[in-house]
Amino acid sequence: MEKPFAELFGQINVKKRLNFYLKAFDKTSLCPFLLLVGAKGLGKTEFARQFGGNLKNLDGRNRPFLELNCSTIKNLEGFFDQIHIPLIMDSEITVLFDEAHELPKDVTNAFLTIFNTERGHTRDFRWRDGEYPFNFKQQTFLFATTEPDKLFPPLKDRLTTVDFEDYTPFELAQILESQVEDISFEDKALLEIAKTSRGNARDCVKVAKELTIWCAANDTKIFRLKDFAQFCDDLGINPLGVSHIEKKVLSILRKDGQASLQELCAKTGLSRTAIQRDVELYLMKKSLIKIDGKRHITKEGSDYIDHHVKKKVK
Amino acid sequence: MAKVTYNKDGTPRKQGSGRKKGSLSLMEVKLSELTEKFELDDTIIIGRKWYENLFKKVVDITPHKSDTPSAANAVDEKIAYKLTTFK
Repeated sequence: MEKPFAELFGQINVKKRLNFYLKAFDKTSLCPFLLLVGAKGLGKTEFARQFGGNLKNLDGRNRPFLELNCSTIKNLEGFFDQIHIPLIMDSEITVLFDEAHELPKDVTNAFLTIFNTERGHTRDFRWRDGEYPFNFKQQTFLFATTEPDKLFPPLKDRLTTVDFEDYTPFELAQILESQVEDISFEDKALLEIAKTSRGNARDCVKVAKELTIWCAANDTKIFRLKDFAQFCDDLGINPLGVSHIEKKVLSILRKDGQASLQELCAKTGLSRTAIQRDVELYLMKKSLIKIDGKRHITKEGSDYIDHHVKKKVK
Repeated sequence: MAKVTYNKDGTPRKQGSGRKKGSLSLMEVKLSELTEKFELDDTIIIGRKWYENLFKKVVDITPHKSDTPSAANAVDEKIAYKLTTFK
């Protein structure tokens, strides 16, 4: 039998923990209520899907996997009428509540009672005139979110958090290579392309698709480092995946040496929040700028501009 | 001496201005006379007060509110899900 998560790259710690829970499930038919936490595109849903695919029913068959987008659950009535009664009740099933921070208040409150399983693995939830049974040996509940801070703390307390980490450039390169067929790479070229996906596996898959098209259009089956600049130019991609506005901020800092947030707002036309949240975070993550009250460009940032932008500025 | 009345801007109204008793801007006419002259789609000018008195009940009718949710709302409340079965 193939090892669980063998097709997925990276996330070593996540794999270890999920494998442990799978092993425990085989013995007990129970799994804690897992909360998968991580930035977008790190593979939370894919890991949950594969985790669900490895859970067995009491009769040994694979358990079906139900994926719910919580932003479409409007109230408790809708949840019970459309989901719980027809799909969950008396069934053996794994349920993933994706974007769990979007759960409405009344559903969240009901979940506080339902998922409070200190005594035994079953719970009968009474609501209005109905009684809704839950059996956690038959039903496994998983949650995933990009914004754990927005999850109601008492609900979060009832869940077991599994944190996802950023992918390393090497792991991203592996993901990228697995997504393209019939194209071989020079090692450095693969790494450079992988870096443009900003640490995000989903973006890496998108880049792989564009790369396949680019290679077909250029009638080549080998992607070399010298092709990288042309590839970026053709598709409007900046090295390291830096966006055009981030590049603009870097250029301003390269020219002026330093700038206050207010000055950057004035020169880019962006709000303070947009600059802080959408621009500075990634530039700091890549060590291209540093902030000590004022914004400064680092040596890496200067090198980036000198190598990739200077020609256009001239 | 006749009582002085005032215009809206406060100036005294000129004597003899205004409508004389019995002088009416509206007149009675048979509907048949009008239908001879006009087609069904023609527009005619009528007194607003007369129209409102006659048709007020029709104008004031508000659409009946249905207790059942509209089709658009029903779609809004539909929960999106994906069910996967593994072999």
